[in-house]
Amino acid sequence: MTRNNDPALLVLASLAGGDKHGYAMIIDIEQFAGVKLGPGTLYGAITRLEQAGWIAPVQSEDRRQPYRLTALGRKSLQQEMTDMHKVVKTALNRLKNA
Amino acid sequence: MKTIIKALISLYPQSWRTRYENEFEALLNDVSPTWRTLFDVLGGAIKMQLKIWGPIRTMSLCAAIGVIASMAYSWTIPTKYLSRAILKTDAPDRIPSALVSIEGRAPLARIINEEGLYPDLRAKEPLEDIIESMKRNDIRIHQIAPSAFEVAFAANDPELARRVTNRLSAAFMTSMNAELLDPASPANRNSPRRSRAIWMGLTLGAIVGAWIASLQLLKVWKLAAAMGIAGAVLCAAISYVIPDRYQSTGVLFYETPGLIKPLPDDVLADLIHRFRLYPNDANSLRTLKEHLLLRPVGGANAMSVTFDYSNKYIAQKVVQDVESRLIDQGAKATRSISILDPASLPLQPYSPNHLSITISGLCLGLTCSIVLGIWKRNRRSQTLAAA
Repeated sequence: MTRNNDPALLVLASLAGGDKHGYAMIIDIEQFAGVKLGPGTLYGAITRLEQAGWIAPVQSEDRRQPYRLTALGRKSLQQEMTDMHKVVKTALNRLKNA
Repeated sequence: MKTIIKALISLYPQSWRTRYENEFEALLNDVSPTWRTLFDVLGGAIKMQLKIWGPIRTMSLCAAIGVIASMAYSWTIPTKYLSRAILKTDAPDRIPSALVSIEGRAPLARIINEEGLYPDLRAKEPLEDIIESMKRNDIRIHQIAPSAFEVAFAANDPELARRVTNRLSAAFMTSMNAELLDPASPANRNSPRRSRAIWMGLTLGAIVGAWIASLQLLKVWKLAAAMGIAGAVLCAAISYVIPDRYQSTGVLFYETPGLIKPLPDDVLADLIHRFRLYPNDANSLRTLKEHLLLRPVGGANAMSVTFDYSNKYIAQKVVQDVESRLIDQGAKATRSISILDPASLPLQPYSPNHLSITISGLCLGLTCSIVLGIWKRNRRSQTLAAA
């Protein structure tokens, strides 16, 4: 299971809300996760995710290249979030009962 | 700053740039050009390069970096000039004993002071250490023929090198009736330390490259960082717990050669009692024998008395006491023994070496992370094979 501030996970979560280019992802991730990704880190994650087939570029005339979540990427994100949710739920319940 | 950051794109692999360069440059136009961005882009380039490089390429790059860094460092090493003189002697077996008296602390200290040698070091380091470094690095004496030997001295200034070589030659001529065959030559440029620095850079670079290549293959960067830091911190802490040891040395000169006998047990027991050595040690006599050493120096005409202890003043006093006892012994046996070098007061401990212990801890931690990475990889392969 990946950590919740893993750049690849943050990119997938950002694209789950709609297609975005790199700068839009950085702004979005900073807003919802409080993590400011640098361009080098972001494109390291984009490279890995595109090679894995979890994201794909969207046709665009602009130099700013938008990306979308693929079906495989959506499924992987779903699985990752389900696993993380189980852990979060268990920990919160235990804290409540402790 | 933006221009510099954009220039870093060229550090990314060609294949990556073909695919992503335009959009990445567009992103760099949008983000703030800060130092954080610069290091993030640089880090990204290094990681991307390491992803596509094999171990040989990684090692080669690190070796090249090592050579460049050591070449840059070697330019800071001052150029030295070496002056040589050749002397003839009918008693070449007396060269070692003559060397002991010529390389004594007092005569070398006189040369250093009168010739103004090592002015920068004298402001920072104890004279004892400068004298040892002078003997090790700058004074060269060796036999070149059955009855001829060469005396050479290296210095930053050619005229200074020649003057000191003349002084050393004169000392040999006086001490052992040697004849000057070739006076101190005009000094030539001589910087063997530069080539040594470059070789060390190449070797260290290759070793670091091998480490990085292994971590790259095993993908255990975080484990390596954690274990390396843990190893360094742990070893550094241990090194500060180990008590410091100071070493005092004195040299005695025998007019006539003789056998060096170990000190009898009753003398050693008296030393233990007088200076309260090893109060909690049940085998104090054996411990003293291990740390109080009498050794011949340059043949049978000179002997060094060395003692290391946790207190520098006691170390010096014990050596002084032993020297006095040996001189008294010699007088009783009608053998003239004199002090060539009085017992030194060590200003700095000779052990433990905190820096080298810390670096060893770092290397050990990194190596353990590689071993652990290999073990985990094998275990994963076995699990997959079983499944």
